[in-house]
Amino acid sequence: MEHLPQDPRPWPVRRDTALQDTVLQTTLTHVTHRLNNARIAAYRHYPSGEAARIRAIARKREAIQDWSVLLDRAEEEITAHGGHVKRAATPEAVGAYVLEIARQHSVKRVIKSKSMVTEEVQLNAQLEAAGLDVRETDLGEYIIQLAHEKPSHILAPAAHKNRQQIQRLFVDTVADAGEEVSEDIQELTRFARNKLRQDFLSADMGITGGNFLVAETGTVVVITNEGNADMVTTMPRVLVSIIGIEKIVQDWDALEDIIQQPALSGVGQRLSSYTTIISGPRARESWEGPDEWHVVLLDNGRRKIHGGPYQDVLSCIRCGACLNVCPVFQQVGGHGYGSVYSGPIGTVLSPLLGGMDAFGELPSHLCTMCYACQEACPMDIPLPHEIISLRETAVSERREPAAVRTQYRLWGQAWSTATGYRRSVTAARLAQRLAIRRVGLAAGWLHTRTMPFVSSVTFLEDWAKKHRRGSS
Amino acid sequence: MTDNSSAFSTQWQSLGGQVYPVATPNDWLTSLRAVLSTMIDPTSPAVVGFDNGQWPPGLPWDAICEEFGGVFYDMNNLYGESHTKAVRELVTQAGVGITGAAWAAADTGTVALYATARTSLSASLLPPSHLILLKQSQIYETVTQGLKAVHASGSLPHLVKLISGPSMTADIEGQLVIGVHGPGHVACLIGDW
Amino acid sequence: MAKAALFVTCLVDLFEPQTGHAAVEVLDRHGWQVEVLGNQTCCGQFAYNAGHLQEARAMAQHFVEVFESSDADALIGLSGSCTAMVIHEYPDLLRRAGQSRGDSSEESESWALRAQAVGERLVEFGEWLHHEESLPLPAVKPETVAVHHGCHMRRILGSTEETDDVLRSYGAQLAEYPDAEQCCGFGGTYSMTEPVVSTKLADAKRTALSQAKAAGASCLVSGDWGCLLHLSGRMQHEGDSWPVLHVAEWINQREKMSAKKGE
Repeated sequence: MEHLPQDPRPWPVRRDTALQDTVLQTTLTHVTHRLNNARIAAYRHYPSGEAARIRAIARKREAIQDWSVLLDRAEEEITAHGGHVKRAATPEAVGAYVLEIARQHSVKRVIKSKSMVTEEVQLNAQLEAAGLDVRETDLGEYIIQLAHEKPSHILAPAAHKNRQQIQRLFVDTVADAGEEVSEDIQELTRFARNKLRQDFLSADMGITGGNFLVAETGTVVVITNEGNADMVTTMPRVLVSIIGIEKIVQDWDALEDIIQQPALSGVGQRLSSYTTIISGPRARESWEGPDEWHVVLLDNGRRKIHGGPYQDVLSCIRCGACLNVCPVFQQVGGHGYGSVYSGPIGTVLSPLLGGMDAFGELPSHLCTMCYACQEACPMDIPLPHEIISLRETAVSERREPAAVRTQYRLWGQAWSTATGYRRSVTAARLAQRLAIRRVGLAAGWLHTRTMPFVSSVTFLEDWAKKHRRGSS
Repeated sequence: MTDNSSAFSTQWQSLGGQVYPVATPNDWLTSLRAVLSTMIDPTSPAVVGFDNGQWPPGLPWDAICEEFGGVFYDMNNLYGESHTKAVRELVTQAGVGITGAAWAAADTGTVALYATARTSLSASLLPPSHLILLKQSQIYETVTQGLKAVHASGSLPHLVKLISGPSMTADIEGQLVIGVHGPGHVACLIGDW
Repeated sequence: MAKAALFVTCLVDLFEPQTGHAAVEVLDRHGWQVEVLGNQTCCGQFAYNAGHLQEARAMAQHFVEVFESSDADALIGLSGSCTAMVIHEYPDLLRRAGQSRGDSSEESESWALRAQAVGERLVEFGEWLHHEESLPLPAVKPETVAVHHGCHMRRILGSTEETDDVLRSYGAQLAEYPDAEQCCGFGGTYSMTEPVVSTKLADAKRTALSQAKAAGASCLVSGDWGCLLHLSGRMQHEGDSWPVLHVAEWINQREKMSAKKGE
């Protein structure tokens, strides 16, 4: 199994499919604008949230730097509270561990709250292949699970679908024979609530991701707006929390500063509707919570990023703010990236986790270098520079066509001297006279845009002519 | 109302929750009747109450619920391992869950519940309506102060839940819908006793 | 008399020389002596953004050598994006590129510091004019225009307000349109290597700008010819002849108009 699942369709196919999908174009624009405006308003009216964000950046950077020590501490604490910790290096290791627990507890039905990490390790496919019944419970995830699709937005996985498509999907997959399903969004939500309620009550195992792991007390924090993670952590006998190792924070002080940031940046709320804080399995005197709690700490390529030039990317809190401001994301949506991690963060993270062979085209083709992501990122991750750096890697690994590489080389050489620059002007004029315009990189411009002509007298030529005797 | 109470009320209401201020200890009955009249649904009449030892004493719960077609279950009578299944079943069918809170926070409009012997998290989650009884002194100015209290409590509860308004989603076309998996109707009674 | 060395930029030099001439006239009117260093070429951003670090390094070093030779009081750039490149990217670029080709760290650091010194003297045209005392303008009829700020002007230089203020002080009424902060899709050579998405973004920008047009905007003004060539190229291709102007040209027009009136 690959480290990161990859859409086998090549980029031009993914791109053109997205650009021709009118539903996607409408819903995505609406969703991204709504979330982005909410984010801006939320911070503007909440100075202490902004102050906490600034502190959180520094603490999170330190936590990543010291993660070995902190992860050991978290493991000790979780174990001391009666939980179990498994360190997993690969997607297969996660699947094997969860299946082993499921076997021990005769688990048949699994309910999940939204988790990007389980998308990354394709956990559903692994569990289903072993005969388990797995149900996603976040409304958006439920929809794409029924449609056998991947999330198109980190926060709003079904942002590419409209109500009519979802109504048809429900009728085709989960509605009972003859059961009416309305196209009204409120009714569709109620329908999903009723269906999923049965799953919540009958599940044997719950699986969540985790937004934060607090080393000091071995505490896992899970955030949702729907309340599904509360169901998953409260109802089933066995709970498995699967967490990327970069989710580590030092202590409760650090947690206090960072805990509001996913909601502030992601949806413009000061805190999500539900925040679940788990520090151990059910206490003897308590009504609720799992009898057994397992925490899986996933590496899957993260340690390779640590200590290198991209270490800051490990501070990501998966709020999705960078997606909502990205002009390219707004056009092609999450499926355009061919990775479960989309948008600017996916453009960086996907090649780092899944390799340049699979995802090397993302930095080159899905970024206009507009810096909107850097401005929006609550954790100040220098995404544009990381994208440039990945482009440099693509160049040095000779992933570009040779002709393109040659053009850049000649162009760069020529324009590093005044003489070369002047010669290139002469050459361009000659080409223009001979009507040779569809050459090299310029060809990419011409199909859709009128090409400007090199001026008959450039500014510098004109100036030189008029000021031959001196510089003024 | 104290500053924290009114700030909490503003924030909680902006999230889509309701607030019923209880002016004096003598007004509890009136306020309870007001809120329960909007919450009790005679088609799922069970009202499950988890008194965490922090409720105003001496209220005629059975009578108030009955008045609006409900049936009150004092879950403290069902305390103990042997009742777990019965509790689960009752909460699953209930139309209203009533709990206290460990604390609340004004800046985020948050109510915190701890999983303990006398509080049920599922009562705040499974029924379509959730009523929370809050003392003014339980309301912190910020959620940060509340989190400090969780951590400072010495023995960390194994499960803590922060509720900031009703359950909601915008997963279909970005349109906000209240009440997905958790309750769509959440109300706080805020007073002193 | 204060002296300004003009950083013309390759796009202005090659395709839109009238912008350079306009800038010279404005500088002159404001009492500045203008120097144009004939050896200047291009800041190298197209190569840097595309990941061609060594090509970018060579151009950056040439730029530094050319402009540090000037004793001008200010270096004035006719592009927000290229100005941002020199000020904010050069030092780190020269360090990294030097390292990766095996230059000694002293040499890389020395280039970085030289670049930094040049960057400290460089200012974008709109910012420069904002610092200038504005000329007394006789009542010139207000003109509604649409403004598009390049993303680097907006997010790296952070100086969109300055240009807006200057335009307003010259009688511009800035027409509003949705998503003004959104990228137009130019992105340097991105416009050529990914023309499909680039063009889609140009069309999105044109759709948004149509509201400004409907509100009476006579033209589109920007401090960056990169964005303007991309947008006007798309407009012309689609048979739309709405004028596009560099800030320097629009200001120069206004100053000329007011000079006439004042006569």
